[in-house]
Amino acid sequence: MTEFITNGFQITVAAICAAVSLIRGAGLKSRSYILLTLFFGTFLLGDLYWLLFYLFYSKTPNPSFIPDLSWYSSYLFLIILLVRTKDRKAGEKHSVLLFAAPLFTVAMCLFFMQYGEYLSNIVIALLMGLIIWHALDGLLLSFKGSMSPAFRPLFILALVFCGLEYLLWVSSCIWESETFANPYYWIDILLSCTFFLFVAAVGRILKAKEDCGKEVNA
Amino acid sequence: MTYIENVYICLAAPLLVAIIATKNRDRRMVVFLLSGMTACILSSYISTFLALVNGLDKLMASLTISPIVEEFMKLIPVLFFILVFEPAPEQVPGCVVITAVGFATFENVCYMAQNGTTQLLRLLIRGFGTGAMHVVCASLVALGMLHLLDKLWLRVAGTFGLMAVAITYHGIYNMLVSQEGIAAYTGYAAPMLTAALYFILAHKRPAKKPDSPGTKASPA
Repeated sequence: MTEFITNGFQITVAAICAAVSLIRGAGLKSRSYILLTLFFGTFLLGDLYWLLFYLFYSKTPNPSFIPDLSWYSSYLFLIILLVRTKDRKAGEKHSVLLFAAPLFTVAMCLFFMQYGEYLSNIVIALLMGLIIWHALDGLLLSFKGSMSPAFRPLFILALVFCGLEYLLWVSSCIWESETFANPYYWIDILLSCTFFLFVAAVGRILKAKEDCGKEVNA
Repeated sequence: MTYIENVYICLAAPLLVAIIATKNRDRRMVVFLLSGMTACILSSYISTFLALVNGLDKLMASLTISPIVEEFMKLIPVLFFILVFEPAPEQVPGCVVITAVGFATFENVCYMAQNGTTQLLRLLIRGFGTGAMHVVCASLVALGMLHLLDKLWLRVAGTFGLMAVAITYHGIYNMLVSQEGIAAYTGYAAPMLTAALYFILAHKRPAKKPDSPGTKASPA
């Protein structure tokens, strides 16, 4: 029941955010909003598939290729959004700090391999590593003054999103209770709430670009 | 037992004649129709093989494996056309839709051969539902391949992402239509509603000047 409530909440939030992003994206012809719609949409579809399967057959899908593919692609769309938002000039050096991203994800991958499949954990480590890398890079560039401070919330949010995902996965390894006493469900709800902030962060970036009066390539 | 190879031969024969008898654009469309049907029969073989390897029954295979195989197989003829013949972007969507229609047609014919043709209403709903679903899924991937992204690596990544969307959408559709009552009707209606939503959004005039893919990001 707890799983149904948190999944239902996540599906509702993702659906609202996808609809808002789609309407804004279609109206403004903004690629950032379209990518955000795809991020929410794929996350939503993965959740929906999982929930419907559980509802109809009282078990989780096995093999779970389809929802896994869906969630991986949502990370992929987030990476594309971050890459398109960043403005790295040619010849600009990467900070050493960025290498913390692959170090962290590889360490976590080794930890999760004790509990799950090897291939899926490697794919997740790769995708999460890329999200953290690009989010950190964008954040450092904005602190250096290469980008407007209006860009920062999106990069911070991407980092928070990754942090919450990892907390979620770690908690699922430690706690197994199916009640709200399990922090897994609270983290899942918190993760869903970050979706609203993503919409606001992209809106802020587009507004900043519009205010600058320059060409928008969102 | 239904021999789908025999059904395939029966349907493919007139199309092969049509390929010889037509020219240019018409011929291309018939080739894509046949490619869609061929993709469908090959998907059926591959799905059956993978189901056996994973120890899954027919229903579980249709929910967990078939959507992945079918979406990849449906993309192959179009991908071949794009990579080998390098067509103009406006030529591609038509080919994608015709491939999907070929796929859906063959699937529906096999369904009728297995389940009979007595229930007209059910066949009508299934015909439109399956047709719309295959067209929606194929169009989604084509749309991303052609319009969503500018750089090559982003386009490849985006196409993979949209492929995953199409696969999950297909999986949810299969799951819903395998149920009875309201769930099945929701499943059949969903692709038609998605197609209608796409039609509305595609024909909506932009409120502001659109972004051009070639312009460079210019933060403050």
